[in-house]
Amino acid sequence: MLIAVVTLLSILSLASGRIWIGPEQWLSLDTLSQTLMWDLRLPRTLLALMVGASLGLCGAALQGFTRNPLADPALLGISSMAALGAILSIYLGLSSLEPWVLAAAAITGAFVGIVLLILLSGLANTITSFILVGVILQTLASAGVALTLSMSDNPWASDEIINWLLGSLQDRSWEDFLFALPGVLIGTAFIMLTRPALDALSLGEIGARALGVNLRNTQWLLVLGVGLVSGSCVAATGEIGFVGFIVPHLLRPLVGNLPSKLLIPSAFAGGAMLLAADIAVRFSPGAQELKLGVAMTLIGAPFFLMLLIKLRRQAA
Amino acid sequence: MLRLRPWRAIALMVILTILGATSPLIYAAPTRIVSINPCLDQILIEVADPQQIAALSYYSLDPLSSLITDRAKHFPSTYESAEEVMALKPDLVLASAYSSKATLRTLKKLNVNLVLFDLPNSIEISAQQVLSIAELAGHPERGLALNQRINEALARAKIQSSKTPISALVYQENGFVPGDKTLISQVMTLSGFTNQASAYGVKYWGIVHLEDLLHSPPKVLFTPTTRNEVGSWSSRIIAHPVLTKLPTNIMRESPFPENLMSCAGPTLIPLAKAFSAALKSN
Repeated sequence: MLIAVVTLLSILSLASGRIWIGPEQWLSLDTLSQTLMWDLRLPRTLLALMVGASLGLCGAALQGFTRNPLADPALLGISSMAALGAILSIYLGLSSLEPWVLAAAAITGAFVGIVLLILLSGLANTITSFILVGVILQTLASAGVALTLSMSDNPWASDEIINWLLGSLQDRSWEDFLFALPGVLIGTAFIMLTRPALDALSLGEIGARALGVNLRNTQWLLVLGVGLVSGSCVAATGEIGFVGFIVPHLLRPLVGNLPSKLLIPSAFAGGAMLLAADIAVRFSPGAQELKLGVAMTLIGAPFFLMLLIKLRRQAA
Repeated sequence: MLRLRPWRAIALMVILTILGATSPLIYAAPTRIVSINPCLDQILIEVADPQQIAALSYYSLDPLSSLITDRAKHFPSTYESAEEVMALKPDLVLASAYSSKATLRTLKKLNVNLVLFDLPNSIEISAQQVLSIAELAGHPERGLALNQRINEALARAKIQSSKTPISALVYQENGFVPGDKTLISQVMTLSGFTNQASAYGVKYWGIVHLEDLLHSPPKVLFTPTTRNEVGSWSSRIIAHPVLTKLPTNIMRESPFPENLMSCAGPTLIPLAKAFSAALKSN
């Protein structure tokens, strides 16, 4: 069913924008419209699906591993650290050496973020401490982004800050998609390898060990996987949050609580959700499109609030 | 009648005569001018004596945004902060009305002789600014001469413009576009182009995204010869493959020096020349 939704949304996405180009026109397009469809709308659609799927997958994997319902790459500061990595590579001139350096720097940033997250939240793995560490990383990384940009000579630096921290799919190209793809594919493979371990972890750490799961390996596989995936995505779009957070919660009533069963549906649902949001922002009133990261926050924040209230009620 | 000793009377008469003769020069030309705006630097360096200039802006040293880097490096420069300005003990400070508000407030509070210049949106305003700065520096004749040179350059561009204007758009980083009501647009239209920006609803300055651009493309797209910041969003939009993929009979990209895009005054001379050259090659 999700596949059908994704296909429908993709068609809608290709048709949507400032000018509606419905499917009936697709066979008889003029040169301009062809270029528009092929070089702007198609990469944008594929990128939305890929990033949405990646974020959904990462969210489900992180929530399964940490057994924490609030886990999400952006909320935990991983996306911000990736953005910091990317920006440092631009302003140190490294990204002009080779085209893949930018994505690699974002991935490195994401790695550092996750490692710090695991180290800092380690033993006191309560919901509060986890979120606290996430907030610390977010703040640190965002400050780092602003610092780097404030020291640059570029007169467009403040626009750059906005673009990285608010996330958008506008004006993206095939290059953005293709440079993110390898990282996403390899990272997804790593994450999928952790499926049995995630299931075992739902019995708690001791239970998982008793079942023969090597927690250390699982941890590193997850670090590599989530780092590669979220880093590549941030390099292409900037920070987009809340997808990985909302999607697993929406699917649990439908699919069940077993983490391994959640991964693939989360990917599809994440892709669908981000694509739907991206289509919606294309119809923003006014001259400027709403930034996708902002749109996701507008959707995600109320959801977050609802979840916190639910958790409080459960604890009470 | 006052009873003055003779020598005192003579001394008084001599002093009064000298004062009277020099009264037109009572406006003592400033000797320590500080400019904290790179566009004003460019005018100042043309109309003032080198000894009058105490400091220019740091941005005049950046070859990507300034035309006077070679001359500017012979002068001290500031990072446009109030502290640096005060340390130079200026008797005249030139700034843009859009300079940092905090800096301007501080300078005003410290009673500095501050003169602000607004963003020139027309050739006339630019000419007035050139004259004002020349007068402030005590050399009004140099201002007139500079305006003369600018007008000649603009007239040359106008003569070389053809009867049928070509639609064009200046497309800077981030998709930043000057509309009809800007100075760069006026020079562009004078040189034989029409500004496509109005098709996107841009009047002064605005951002035009690629889908909108493709919807009604200009015949010529002026893109800056970019900064070496591969990967930043601002340069990605102007390096987007879509801009080069369109067949050249629909839209053609024309690389344009970035340092001609932000200032008025003497910059108008190479600006007009560049537009004329672009017209010829199209």
